[in-house]
Amino acid sequence: MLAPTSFAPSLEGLPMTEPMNGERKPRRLAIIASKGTLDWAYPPLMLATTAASMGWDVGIYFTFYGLYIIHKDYQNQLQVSPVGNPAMPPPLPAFPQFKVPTLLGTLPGMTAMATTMMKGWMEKAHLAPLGELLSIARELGVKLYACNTMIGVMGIDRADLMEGVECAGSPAFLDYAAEAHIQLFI
Amino acid sequence: MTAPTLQIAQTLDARGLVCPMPTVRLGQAIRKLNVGDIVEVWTDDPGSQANMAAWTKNTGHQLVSSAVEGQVYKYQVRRMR
Repeated sequence: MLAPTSFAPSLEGLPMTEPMNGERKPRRLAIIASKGTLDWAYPPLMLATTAASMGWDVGIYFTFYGLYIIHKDYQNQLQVSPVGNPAMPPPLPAFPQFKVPTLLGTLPGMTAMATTMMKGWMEKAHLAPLGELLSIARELGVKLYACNTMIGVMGIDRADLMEGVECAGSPAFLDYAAEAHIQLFI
Repeated sequence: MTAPTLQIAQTLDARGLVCPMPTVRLGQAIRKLNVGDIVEVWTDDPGSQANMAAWTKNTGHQLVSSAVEGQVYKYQVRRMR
């Protein structure tokens, strides 16, 4: 056995407490995904798949631009913008002092370039592409809800949403979230 | 406790995968095993020790043994339910 660390005081004889054997309700995670850029699309899906892999009950409520994460035509085309993001890493890792001034981010092609760069980093780290994370989420039983109202406001066709997505309203989501141990707005 | 020699039902090579993919892959893999079977996970995620402790605590599956060989952490997890 590895020596204990502060996050993992003892690995000996785990599980230590509260095994989930049906006598106890599983923990629940409720997430609202409201952003439609590549960088903001990942956190809800990473947390959801992690929690589901631990046997938690997980639901994501997609609203506003977050709806594009579950939109068949858009989910592979989400982008990240360098505009207004001074934390955007330098394009050439060998020259960390050469950062793209945020004003230049407004030039045509800069969003595409930033997106290509970020996808490259993710691929290098073997992070699953969005589509794959979503199918893992479905396989592990994550519930995907689409906000009814915003589907209408944004003129999205329900038929264009990926399979397995349920349309729901905020009362239904709040009722679900009220029973959750963790609620996040992302 | 010294780990007895155990029959490994499956080896999950998660080397090169960043968090949370090793535990997510483990979650996918363990569902396909029989209760009592052991999966051995290989990962080079330096945070994996705390992650595996949290994962096994939450799922109720048992962390049978853990070891590190060079850069690679090896965890044996038994499906409990």
